[in-house]
Amino acid sequence: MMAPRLKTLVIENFRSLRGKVVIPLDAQVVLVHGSNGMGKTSVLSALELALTGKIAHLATDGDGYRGYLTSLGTAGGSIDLTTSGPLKPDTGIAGSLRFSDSEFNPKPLLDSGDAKFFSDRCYLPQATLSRLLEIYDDQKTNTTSPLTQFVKELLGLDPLDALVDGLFPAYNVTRVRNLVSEYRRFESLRTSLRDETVRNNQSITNATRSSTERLATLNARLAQLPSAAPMFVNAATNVEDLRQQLETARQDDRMLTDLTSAASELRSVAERWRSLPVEDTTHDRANMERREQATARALGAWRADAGAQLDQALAIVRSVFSDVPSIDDGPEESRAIAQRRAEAEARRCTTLINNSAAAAERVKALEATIQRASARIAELNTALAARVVDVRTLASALAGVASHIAGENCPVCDRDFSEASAEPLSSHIAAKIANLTSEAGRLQSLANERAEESNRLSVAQRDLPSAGGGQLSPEDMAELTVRAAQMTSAGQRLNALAPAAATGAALMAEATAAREPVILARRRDEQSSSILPEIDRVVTSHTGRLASTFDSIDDALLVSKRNLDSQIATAERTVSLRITVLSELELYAKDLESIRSFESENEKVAVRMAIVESAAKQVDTCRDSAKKVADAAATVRSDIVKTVFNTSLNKVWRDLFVRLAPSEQFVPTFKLPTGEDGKVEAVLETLHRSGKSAGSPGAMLSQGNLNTAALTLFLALHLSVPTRMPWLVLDDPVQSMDDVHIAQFAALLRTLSKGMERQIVVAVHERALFDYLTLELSPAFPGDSLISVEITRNFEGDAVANPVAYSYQEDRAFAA
Amino acid sequence: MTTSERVVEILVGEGGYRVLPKPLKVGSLFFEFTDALMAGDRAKDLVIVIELKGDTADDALIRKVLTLTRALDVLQSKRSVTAVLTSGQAMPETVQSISRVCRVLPVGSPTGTNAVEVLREWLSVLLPLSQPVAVETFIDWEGDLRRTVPANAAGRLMDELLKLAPEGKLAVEEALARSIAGSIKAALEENDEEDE
Repeated sequence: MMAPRLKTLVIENFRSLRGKVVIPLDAQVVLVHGSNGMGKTSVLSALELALTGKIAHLATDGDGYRGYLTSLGTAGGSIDLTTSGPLKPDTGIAGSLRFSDSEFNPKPLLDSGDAKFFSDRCYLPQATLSRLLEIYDDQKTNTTSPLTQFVKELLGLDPLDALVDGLFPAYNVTRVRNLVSEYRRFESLRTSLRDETVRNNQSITNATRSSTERLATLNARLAQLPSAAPMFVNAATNVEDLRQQLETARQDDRMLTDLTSAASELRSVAERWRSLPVEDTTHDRANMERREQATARALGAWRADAGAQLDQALAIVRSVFSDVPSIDDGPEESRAIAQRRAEAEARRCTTLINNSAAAAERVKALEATIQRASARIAELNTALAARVVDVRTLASALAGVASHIAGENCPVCDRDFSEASAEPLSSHIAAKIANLTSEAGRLQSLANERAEESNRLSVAQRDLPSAGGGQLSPEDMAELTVRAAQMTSAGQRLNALAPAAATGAALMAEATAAREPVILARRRDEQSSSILPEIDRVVTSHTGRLASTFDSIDDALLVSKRNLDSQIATAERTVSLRITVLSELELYAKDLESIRSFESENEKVAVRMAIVESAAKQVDTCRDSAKKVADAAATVRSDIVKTVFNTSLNKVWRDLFVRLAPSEQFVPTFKLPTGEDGKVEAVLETLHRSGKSAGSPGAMLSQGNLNTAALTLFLALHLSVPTRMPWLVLDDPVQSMDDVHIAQFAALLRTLSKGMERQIVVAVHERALFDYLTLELSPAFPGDSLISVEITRNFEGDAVANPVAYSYQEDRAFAA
Repeated sequence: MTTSERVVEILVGEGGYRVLPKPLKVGSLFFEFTDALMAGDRAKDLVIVIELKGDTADDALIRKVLTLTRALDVLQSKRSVTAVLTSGQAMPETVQSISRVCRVLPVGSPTGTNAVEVLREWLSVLLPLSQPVAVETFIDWEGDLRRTVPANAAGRLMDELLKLAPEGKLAVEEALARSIAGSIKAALEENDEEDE
């Protein structure tokens, strides 16, 4: 089946193409010509829109271009494309687009995959041509460059990339952790199991060592324990049996209790014995009796003489203050109290008398004040009654009238004042006002004085009743005067008796001191006779001897205590040894128990450990395989890339480039990735014809040859991919090529059309080039076809397409 | 072998050209060229080979080419003419003049080891383009990979990875994760039971 061709393109009101143009495309080669601005690029854009539904090189900046598709001054337009047959079975043969300023309704012929293929590989817009090398040499660090992208797509290396990238985590345990969330848990499980084993083993070692040590101590202690049969422990001993045996032997506990209570009895007896006063000698006793009698006599003598005088003086004071103590309560104390009381009373009486005199004085003064104030107020009242008129008001009223006085007429009564006096009315009024004002001042001061006086009066009247307080009646006055004198005299007498009182006090103290030891001695005799039998009993029970056989009672008690203490110490040692042995025994049992439990724990851990270790091994195997696969993928990838570049792409590009620029010494080429890390990152460079590598195309080629490089790069890429559609659309590809290149380009186009069976649509803006290409590409054999279309405008400004179809004509110059 | 003879050899051998009898007859006129060739069934090129020798007069040469193209025009021939200038160096003015009426390839006389290659590149525009080997036909990444991976790494995991590779990086990563997770799953579950 013949490959489908683009057949007809109908364009209405699209961009610079106003009105409707019909462009036939059904030929091997279609040449579109129009001078700048006529719309030849619009024709190719319309073709792209009908095929793909968008303008790819504009769409990279967004969909904004859709709003500018409609020709100026028209309501909207359309594009319709038909092909000679379906591209694939069951696909359509028509694509269309309806658009206006607000509408964009594409029904593209190609599906999105094919559309992208067409835009990338079959259609070279003018804008893209100038940027092509730039696009393909774009070396951004982190993104895949378009060239790399192309290479990957072209080579189908994505699976290898997926393997290399996807297996990357296998190389690094940190990435494995991130990739597999449980892996971290697994690792910590493994570590914790290992740690646990180490810990358990350590614990077993420790417990074994301590149990061995404990066994030695235990046996040493057991040997010290008083027992019927000698006891010892070894690994075979039943610890529990031994323990019970030790627990049942308890008589030492009871013994210790008995001894302790005996000791406390002994202690109490000794205590009581010691508390007895030390016995005096008989000689001392007689002395004490004598001294007692002597002191008693001296005291009696004092009482009869000085004591009597003191008693008398005290009696006087006691007549007023009944609580004054007697001479027996201590002659000096009672004297001092009585003296203080007497003096205080004398002072009190004097004070009361003085206060009464002062009060009488105050009452007299107040009464005088009251009398005088009342008299003055009466006087002032009389003075003020004469001038009851409010002179101040009158003065201010006259001052108000004064401003209305003009001439001699009185403003109040309208009479002429000159008739009454020679003085002018105004000065009369002024004098009157002055008089009145001074009068008002005098009255004011009088009123003030009266207020002061009445204030004074009321204060005096208020104070008078209270001023009388403190005044004494004449009876009281007389009694107090007498008492004051009495107390003063008593105080003086008591003061004089002070030395006598001191002597009495000393005598009393001496008598008491002499009497005291005599009384104590009598009491001790009674107590010692009752405690001695008890001491005898206690001492006998602990020493086996009577207390009387010792040198003294104190010796007997001391020996008893020493015996008892040694017995208690022995008993205590035995008890504590037994307790130690029991607790050691218990610890030993615990050691044995913990060794057993650690050992069983270790067995369990070992089982789990085996599982974990085998899993870890599996993971390692898995990672290892993954790494090997990834390594292999990287190797295969770089091998494939090298192969493809060397055997295909660079070869095609070079072939195409030298066709168009046979005299250029530098040929552009893709440089291969040199690193073995497997990343496909192709870069552009040039090779000298001799095979030596040179700089980048931009640096090494002329502008014309750069354009050639770009064009041939596009064609090389077009030819390198498996053909999805046999169409090649080029928009003004020879802008800056010189004549030689154009001739070569024409030949290349023909080769592509004839040799590669591509349907070629080319737009050119230069008339000469258009004619030349028309000539070069016109049919050379039967069946060849060429359509040329000229886009122009008519007088109304509507676009007009003039298609011309060329068919084969026999060449008459040479016989075929 | 002279350059002109090599040109004829390449065009005939690789381009399917046939050598026209000398002198070249166009209409009623005869032209003397070193060689003249006509393309086969795919193109309509007329190639004239001109040796530039010591006694070549450039004016005469230019006149001869112009006359030829004029004669073709008169006969309304649509043959496109290519002039291959061999041996000596062509004067720039000469090339300029004749390139107005035909394609000019001033190949000179390439020397050295790759002389033939240089010549072929000059002439390549006249030769058919060979469709490059479709890339797909020699890419068998899976086969290459299987051959490259060491035997001890091959197995169920690799098969799964290769199967998933076309689905992308994530699919591969997930397969790796699954494989690792599967390896440690039993151990972790055992542990969980212990903990419970």
